[in-house]
Amino acid sequence: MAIATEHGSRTITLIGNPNTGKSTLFGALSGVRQRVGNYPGVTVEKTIGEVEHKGQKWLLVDLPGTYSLAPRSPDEMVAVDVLLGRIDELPPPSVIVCVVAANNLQRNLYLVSQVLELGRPVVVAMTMNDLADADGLKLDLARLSERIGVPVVPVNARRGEGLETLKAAVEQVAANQNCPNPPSLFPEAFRGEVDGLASQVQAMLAGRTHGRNSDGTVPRYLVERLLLDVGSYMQTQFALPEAQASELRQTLEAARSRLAAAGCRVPEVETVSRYAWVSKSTEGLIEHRNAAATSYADRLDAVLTHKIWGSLILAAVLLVMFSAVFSWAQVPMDWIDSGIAAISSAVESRMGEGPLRSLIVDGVIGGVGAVVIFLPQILILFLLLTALEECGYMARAAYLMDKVMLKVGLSGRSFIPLLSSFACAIPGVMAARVIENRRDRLTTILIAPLMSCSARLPVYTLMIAAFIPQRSLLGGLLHLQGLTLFAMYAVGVVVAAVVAWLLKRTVLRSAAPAFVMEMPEYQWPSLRVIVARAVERGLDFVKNAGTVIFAVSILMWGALYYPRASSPEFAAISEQMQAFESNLAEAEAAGDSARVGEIEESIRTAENKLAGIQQRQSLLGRAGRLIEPVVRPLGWDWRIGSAVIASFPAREVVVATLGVIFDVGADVEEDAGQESLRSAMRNATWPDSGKPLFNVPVALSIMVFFALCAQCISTLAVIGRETGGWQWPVFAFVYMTGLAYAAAFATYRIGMLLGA
Amino acid sequence: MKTESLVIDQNDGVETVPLMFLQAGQDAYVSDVMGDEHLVHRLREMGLYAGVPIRMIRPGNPCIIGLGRQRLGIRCDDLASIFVQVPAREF
Repeated sequence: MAIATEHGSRTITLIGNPNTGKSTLFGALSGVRQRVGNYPGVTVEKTIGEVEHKGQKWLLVDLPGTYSLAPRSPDEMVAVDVLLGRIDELPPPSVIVCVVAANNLQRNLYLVSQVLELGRPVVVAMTMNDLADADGLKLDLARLSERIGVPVVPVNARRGEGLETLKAAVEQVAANQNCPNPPSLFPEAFRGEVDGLASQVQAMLAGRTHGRNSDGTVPRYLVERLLLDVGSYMQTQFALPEAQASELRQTLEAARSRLAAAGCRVPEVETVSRYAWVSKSTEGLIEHRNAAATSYADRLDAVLTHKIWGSLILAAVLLVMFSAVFSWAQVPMDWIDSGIAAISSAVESRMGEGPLRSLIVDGVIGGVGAVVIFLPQILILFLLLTALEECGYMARAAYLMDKVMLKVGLSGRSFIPLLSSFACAIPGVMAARVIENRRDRLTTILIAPLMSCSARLPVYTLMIAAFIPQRSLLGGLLHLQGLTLFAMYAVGVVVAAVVAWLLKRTVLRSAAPAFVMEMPEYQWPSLRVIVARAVERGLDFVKNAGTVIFAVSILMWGALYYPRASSPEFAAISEQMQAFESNLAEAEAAGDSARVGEIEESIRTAENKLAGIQQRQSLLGRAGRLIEPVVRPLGWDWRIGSAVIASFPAREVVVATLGVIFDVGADVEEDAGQESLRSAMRNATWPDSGKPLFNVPVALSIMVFFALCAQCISTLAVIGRETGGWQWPVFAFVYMTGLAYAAAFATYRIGMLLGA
Repeated sequence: MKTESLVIDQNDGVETVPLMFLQAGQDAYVSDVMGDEHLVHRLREMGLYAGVPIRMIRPGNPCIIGLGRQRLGIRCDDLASIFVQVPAREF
């Protein structure tokens, strides 16, 4: 295993409550270099980085934030398995670093009491000391460390304070193999039952390898869990044959009733015993100086979670966020645009006319360039969403939205995944992991792709800029273009609400979920975390543009360029062109400017005709005309139809495919990029009638289609992974495509009626 | 609905009332958390169990309560009903 050999056996595993600054600490220890993956079979994110200390490299593994190490699902089991070293792909942790927030000491130490029982070296990293200081809280860390038997190191990851001390402490406990003595915090009766159970489980598993540590024993912590977690996931972990499994169930039930009779009711006995240990460990070590004073956070919350003011502020935050995406991105987008134009004109001037030049200019630069230009918008959206999450506002937004979400049968928890989906449905679908109930989680996952993600922005922006008039409404307060964009976002949200409501009453029927959510402390977002996440997503996007979009662009170009037209009709027009050109030369020589203009006009018409014949003759043209009857009701011709179908891998591809389709044969003298695509689309006509191909209803029907369709392979793949099967992605694709078609049809028809 | 009729228990100058009866800024002790077994256990893990002091930060449903220094948004319904003890005759 590459990982193990490179780092020897030096592995640090981070665990901690949510909102303790664990990710910030991870980032500060490992730098930006980190790999994110998944553990096989479950949806737990595996974040791995590297720490260097005194020339030695340590593997750093981050686990998702959790309040407790009680495995209630396969996902939660992974954290326990990683910590116990029971996972094949990762070496067992040499040291577990438990991140503890000073301002929530009791609750955080609850998790520490569980970690101490795992029998591995532990170091406690104390974060949020500044917040605790501000609250007038004083902790005696030295005595706390003495009482719980492991080093306690105060750190401030943002300012990089305490990191060296932390690393030194880690190195030392690893060198000494300092395993803490597990606190005997449970009552005598309970410990007796665990002893009995341990030997029984050991006997049952004799001669089997599953469910053991490498030394052949079942960790005591897992036996405890077996007894504590009623109907838990642990029972299925050992994969016992049915006879033994039912024997085990009976043993557990008997043990639990004996414990209840002895006054140790399961599962309360765990929380009672652990919190008793916590108060014993912290007794006399915490000093409140001005505990009664309301903190600035509460004063902030008085406004931000207020029914009216809070909701208004939330609306304003969202409005500002989306308008910032446009206004801030304009300048860098212009740079990229002129950069692309410069590249393609440079290529054009250096190459002779022919298939290769067409491939590079129309296929590659036209296709990929049309998409890369949206990178700034995507980066800004991710920066802002991450900042909102990091500063603690997102939980307040979820709190405010709970009432609304309840109306469609979801809880406020679903709001955060849905809001992230405005950047990209993939992190949105993954963020739905925090929703415990499977049906609520599925509903959230299925509606998340309806939120207009950043990949729709290119489509919206292109269509709006090209076809929606720049008109001010209400004396300049609103702009028609902005309003159209807002309407596209609204379409997605409204349809999502209806779909969620329907799902929760039919296939995913279940009662409204509970809402319990920690409101984290407000804090300035860590620039490092924000930038890292935005860069990660930006790289993804560029990688996508460089591979999928690149490939689709070339395929589309080839399908449109070949086979070259050679029909008699084509030859006739070619001859005609040559005649025009010699006439033009004559007229120019004679100085007859009226005639020059006339001939130039005929040449342009002939050129368009030629291009039209070539396109219809091409592979794509032939295939496109096959599907034309299907897309005709939406107001689309075969060119739009095939561009849309070719963008199945990712929505933003449609801009590239439109770029290729309307650039091949279009006037390439103009500058490349957005401008030329816009004007090429404006000039496109129906070949039979000569009427403009695009009008406002057609543009709207394309936008509505893209607002609702499921044209994104990556999202469908993630839905498949997160739901553990292919049924739900297929369901999402079918229902979304059906809705998109119906809505695009309605938009076009209504638009034509109103326009007529 | 009359407040008096919902008072669950009253002795030794202490009243047990639903969490929702607390006003902003009011302190109380948790007396009982009932509802879905798993959710109740989860709440206990987060530090919400009988005997701990809490403070109502933002009344309503869902409400925000202060539990030590942590702030918890929680909706009270069939899945989680929380009862608290307050000194009698405060209402």
